[in-house]
Amino acid sequence: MSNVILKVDNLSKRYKDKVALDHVSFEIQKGKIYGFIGENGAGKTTTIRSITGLSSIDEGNVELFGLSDSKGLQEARKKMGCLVERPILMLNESAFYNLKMQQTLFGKRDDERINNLLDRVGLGDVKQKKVKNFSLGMKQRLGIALSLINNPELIILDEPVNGLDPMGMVEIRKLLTSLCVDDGITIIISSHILTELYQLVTDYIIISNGKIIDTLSKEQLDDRCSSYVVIETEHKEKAIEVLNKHNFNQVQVVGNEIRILGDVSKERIAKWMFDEGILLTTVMKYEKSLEEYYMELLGRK
Amino acid sequence: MNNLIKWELKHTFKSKVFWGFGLFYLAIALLLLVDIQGGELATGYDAFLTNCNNLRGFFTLTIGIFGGTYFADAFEERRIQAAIMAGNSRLNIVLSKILASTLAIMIFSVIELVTGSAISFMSIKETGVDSWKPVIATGTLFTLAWAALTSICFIISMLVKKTGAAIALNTVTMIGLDFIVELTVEQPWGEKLSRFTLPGQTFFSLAAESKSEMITSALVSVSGLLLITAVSYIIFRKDELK
Repeated sequence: MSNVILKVDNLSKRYKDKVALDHVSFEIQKGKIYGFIGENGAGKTTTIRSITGLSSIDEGNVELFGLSDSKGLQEARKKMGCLVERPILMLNESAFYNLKMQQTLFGKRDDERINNLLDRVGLGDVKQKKVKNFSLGMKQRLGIALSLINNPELIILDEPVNGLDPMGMVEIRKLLTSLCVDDGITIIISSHILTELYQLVTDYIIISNGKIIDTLSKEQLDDRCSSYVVIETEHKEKAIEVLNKHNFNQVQVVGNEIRILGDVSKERIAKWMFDEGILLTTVMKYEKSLEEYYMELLGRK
Repeated sequence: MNNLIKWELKHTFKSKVFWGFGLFYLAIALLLLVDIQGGELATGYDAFLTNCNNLRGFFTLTIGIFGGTYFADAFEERRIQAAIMAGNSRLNIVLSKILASTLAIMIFSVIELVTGSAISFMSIKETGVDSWKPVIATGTLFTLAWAALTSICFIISMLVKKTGAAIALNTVTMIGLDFIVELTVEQPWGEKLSRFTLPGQTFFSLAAESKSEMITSALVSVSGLLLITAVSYIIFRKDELK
C-alpha cells in the first residue's frame, strides 16, 4: 500500500496578474515531518490554503488520503488538522471551552481527550484561564491542540514558530517531534527560515516564486551542505591524479579551482601535493552552511 | 451538517451580540407600554399591529448592525475558515449560517412581539380578535419576511469581510430598501410590485388579511430566502479566505 497521503500535482494559482503558484507538485509520505520552506510570498500559504480548502485551485489536482474530488477532499479533511497563519481562537473563552467547541464541529464529546490534549501541549494547569490572557507561545500551543482534536493523521502548520522566543520554539519542536514519533502523525510545517526547522524535519520541500525548486531529505541536505577543500594550481591534471591515488574521486573542477568534496583536511591535501612536487597557489577549506545552501538555491548568491 | 448547525448555534447563543440585541428588543417591547398608556389604541389587536410597526422601524434601523456583526465577525474571527478546514462543504456552511441567523431573527421577533402583545392584550380589555389565528399568522409572516431580508447581510458581509464596513453597508442597505419601498408603495404600480419583494413584505405582511395575501407573503419570503441562499453560495463557492 502506498505511503503517500498527500499528493499535490501541477497546482497553479493566479491572483489577477500575479502567478502565485506555478505547477507546484510534491508528495507527502506517512510518518514524516516535512519542512515547507520558502521566503515570504513564495507561495507556501497559498499552497496550504489550496490543500485546506480555503482557496480555490485554478489548475492541477490535490489528492488527500487517496481522494481528489470535491466531496472526497471534504471527507479527507476530517482526517487532517490545520493551523494556518495563526490559531483560530475564541479569546474570551477558556482553553478548555475552545477545544470543546472544536470537538462540536467534529460531532464529538470527550472531556478526557480535551484534558489529555491540554496536558500534552503543556496547558493543563491553565485550562480554565481565558485565552486572551495567554502568551503568544501558549496560543500557538493551543492552536496545535485544536488541530489535534479530531485525532488527525496529518497536520499542517503554517509558520507555527513565527514570533516565538527561543524557549517557545524548543517547546513546539519537542511537541511536534513527539507527535510524529509517538503518535505517528505526519506533519507539514512551513517556515521562511530553513535553519529554524533543521532540528525537527525529516524532509524538505523548497518553494520560491510559486515554483518548487527542490525536494530533499535531511540526509541529502546534509550532503549538499558538506564541506569541501578548494585548491588552485597550474598542474591541475597532475593534482587530480594525486587525489585519485589517495582514493579521492569526488572532485569538481570549477574554473581554476579544484574542489575536493568530502571530509578531508586542507593540511593533508597540501602535504600530498607537496610530496608530489605540486605547488599550490591556493588551499582553503570551504564549509557551506544551511543558510548559504538555501540562498544559493534561491539564486541569491 | 448536524454538527455544523450545532456548532453554529452554540456560537450564536454564546455571542454577546445575540444577547445584546435580544435585550434591546425586549426593552423596545416594554416601551410599547408607553404607547398603550397613551390611550389612543381601541383594541388589543390594534396595539399588536402598532407593536409590529414599531418593531419594523427598529428592525430597519438596527438589523443591519446585527447582520453585519453576526456574519462579518464569523469571517473576521475566521470561524468560517475553521469550518471549511474541518471538512465541511461551503454549501453546508452557508445553509447553517443563514439558518442560525434566521433563528436569531425569529427569537428577536418573538421576544418583542410576544412580550409586547402580551402587554397589549392584558392592558386593553377589548382584544379586537375573535381568534388568535390572525395574530399568529401576521406575526409569523412578518418574522419570516425579516428573517429572509436579513440574509442579504450575509452576502454584503462576505464581500467586505470587515465588521465595521459590514455594519455600515448593511445598515445603509436596510434603510435604503425601506426608503425605496416607502416611495414605491405610493405609486399605483409600486404597490403591486412591492408585494413581490422582500422589503415590501416587511410592510405588506402586516396588512395581509385574505388567504391569498398570506400565501403571497409566505411565498415571497421563502423564495426570497432561497434565492439569497443560492446567490450567497454561488459567491461563497469561489471566495478566497484568509
